Amino acid sequence: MDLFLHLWIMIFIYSIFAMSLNLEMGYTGLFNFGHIAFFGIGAYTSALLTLHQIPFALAFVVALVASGFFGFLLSIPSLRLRGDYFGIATLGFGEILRMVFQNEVWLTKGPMGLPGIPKPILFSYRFATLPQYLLLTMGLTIVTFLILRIIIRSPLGRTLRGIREDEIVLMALGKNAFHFKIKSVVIGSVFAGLAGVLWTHYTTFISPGDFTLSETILVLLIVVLGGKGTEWGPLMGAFVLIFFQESLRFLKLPTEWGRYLAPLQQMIFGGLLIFLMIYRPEGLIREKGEGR
Amino acid sequence: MTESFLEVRDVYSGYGKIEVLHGVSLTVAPKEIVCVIGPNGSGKSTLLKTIVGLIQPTRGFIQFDGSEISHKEPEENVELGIAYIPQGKNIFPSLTVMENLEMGGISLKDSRKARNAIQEIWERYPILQKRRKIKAGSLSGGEKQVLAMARASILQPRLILLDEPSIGLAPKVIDEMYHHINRMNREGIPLLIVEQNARKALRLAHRAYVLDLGRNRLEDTGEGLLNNEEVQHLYLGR
Amino acid sequence: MSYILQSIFNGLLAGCIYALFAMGLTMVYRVLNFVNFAHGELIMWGAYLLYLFMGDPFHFPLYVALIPALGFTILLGLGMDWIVFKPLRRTNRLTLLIAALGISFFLRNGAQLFWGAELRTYGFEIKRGWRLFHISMTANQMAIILATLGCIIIVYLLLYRSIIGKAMRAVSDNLELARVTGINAKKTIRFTWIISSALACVGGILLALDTNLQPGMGMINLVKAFAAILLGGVGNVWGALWGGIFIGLAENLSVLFISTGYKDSIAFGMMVLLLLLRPRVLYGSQE
Repeated sequence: MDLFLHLWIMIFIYSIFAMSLNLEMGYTGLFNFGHIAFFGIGAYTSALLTLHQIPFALAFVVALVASGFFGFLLSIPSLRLRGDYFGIATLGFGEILRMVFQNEVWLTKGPMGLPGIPKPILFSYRFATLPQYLLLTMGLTIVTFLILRIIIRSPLGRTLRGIREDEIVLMALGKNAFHFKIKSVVIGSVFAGLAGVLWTHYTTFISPGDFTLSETILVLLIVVLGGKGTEWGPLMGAFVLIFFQESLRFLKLPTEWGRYLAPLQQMIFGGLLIFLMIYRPEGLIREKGEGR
Repeated sequence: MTESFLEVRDVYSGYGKIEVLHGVSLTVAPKEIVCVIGPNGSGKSTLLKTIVGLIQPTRGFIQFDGSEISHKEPEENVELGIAYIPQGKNIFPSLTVMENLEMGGISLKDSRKARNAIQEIWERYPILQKRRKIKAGSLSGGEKQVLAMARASILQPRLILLDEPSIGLAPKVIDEMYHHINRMNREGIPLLIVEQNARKALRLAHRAYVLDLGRNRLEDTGEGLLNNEEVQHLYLGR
Repeated sequence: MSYILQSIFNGLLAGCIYALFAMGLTMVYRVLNFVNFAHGELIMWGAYLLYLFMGDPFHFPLYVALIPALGFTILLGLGMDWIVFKPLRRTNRLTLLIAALGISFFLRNGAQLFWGAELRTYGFEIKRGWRLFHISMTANQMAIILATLGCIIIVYLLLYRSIIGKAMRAVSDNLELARVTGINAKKTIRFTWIISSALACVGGILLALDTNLQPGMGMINLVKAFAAILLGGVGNVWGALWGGIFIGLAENLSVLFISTGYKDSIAFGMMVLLLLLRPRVLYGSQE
């Protein structure tokens, strides 16, 4: 039963994370490979604040604002770049941030990590047990889904999709594509931060090693597998991949295998990504109107 | 019946989902100059690209000197002796003039043949020899066109496909270029020339076609089309 | 003062290695018009393959082990292109980038599977070196400089004195024109991968010689190589050379001012500065 709850909590957390990347990547066409950085910023901010006795509600808001703010900072220099350069630049940013987490020991305790992160308390209700946490994550997933759905279907959303299709046409129409891209990255970063907050209070211990390229690949794979640019795609992808990843963990395999299992699993993910790009780039759920 | 050297029969082709040629046919006899004229977007460039193999036709038949080349790749067609000079970007800008010519000779198995051919180029086009160490990108428009034609002639081609050779060039340069085209033809090479500035080409051509919206529209001798009132009105701007 | 000179020397040393990485990366970019995200893994596997052939069960001496290390790295590069990039030739750059990310991930974890995540070294003893003009250098470091010079000379001869090198430059200029000129584009592309992989392999070995081996060494150096080619002008092989040297110098001189933990982020910082000051270099979807 515990495994079941754990599984769903992780699926929901990654759904939010994937939906946020989907907004940037799937809808606006911005391949932000440093997206994990905002997950990390949300996580560390909320962790540090709550560890210093700041109430969760406030920490939560600050964490989201921080993520959005850094998203804004990142987008200014890098959004000028063409698609694939943007990808590499954001990837570099993600790595740099991880180095910051690792080196600024006075702030983040560096590689030793932050233990004992308290469970969230909202309106005097403590989300401590698994079912309670599940409720929290599920609720926030639904909220995220609805908010993003509203955004996608709004004029803003149509503009973002237009940017993905043809930036030149859009600029000819007089809209400033750059500002819209920033909006997309900031919103995406805020929700990534949200996922980070949920995650950090769930695992109660975080360290810089949790925010590496592997997580970026995972969330990228989720979005691509599920079908980028679709509403349900990220959820579908999260379900499939997290299920696979977490159930391996609980198969109670001998621990010596662990040394081989982790890289092997990652190799499968890498291979899956390659396979998808060659044979089914649109993922499981096809976008409306295109079989590209 | 004259054996046609190049035969294009009922060819359909285009880019991905966009079909540009809807069943085009033409022939080029040995030692002929054939001209294709027509407005922008009529598919003239697409036609040449399809013949040389950069684009694969979806339907139709192309034959060169007796063998079918409908689905051959450009590299194979070059080996058969088909030279193609594209419109616009027709030289390698970061290579020197000399290196451009060396590339022209790359498919000649015999490097001595290539070197001799390059010697001939120097004699025929002294302007190129003078600038042989200069990067081709810094040449003038006319010089680039001459280099492109020289590059193609190293192959010892048996057919030359020219895409709008006079585009963007000054009248005097165009004259010079058509002088070279004429000379190559008198040495026995057939040419298929696509032109927008049709007057000069039509004067030189033995036969000509009008292509409009991806379809054959008219066919006649060069003189015939030149004097055709409809052609004059629609395509020669008179 | 001698500390600064030493830093400059170290910077040049690192710069040589980065130059090799950048030159290999930019060659593939010139010819195929995309950034090979898995180039870092060619670097890493080059280094590990040498380790493999010098260790159990082969125990080859260094110069002998170099041959299979180079050979297999080249096969890896050719394989990458043949299995993944070739089927994707006609898609957009982003699909290629994601596929390359997948390859990179696959290869990095593959190395971790075989060799584990711990740091390893080639195990050469640090012999006494020399001292010239207040700069101390070891034999290993001299080897790095000589090897880099050798590679640069070979690349020059290739690109400017050999037909296939000139064909590479022609294909980089205009693939379609190259094909109709009679250049065998496929052969030229294969050759480009061979050179790119070879440069990555040599660079990776030199890096591991100077520092150590670990599965993540590819990725962080990819970012540096990328920064180097941006600095030198994308697609410009000599620019990549200078870009790499510049980054090496910048990294090693920066530790005079900031903490060494951030040394690896200097390259990224350079990139950001470049973008802020000269964004026109890369703006837009054209190129």
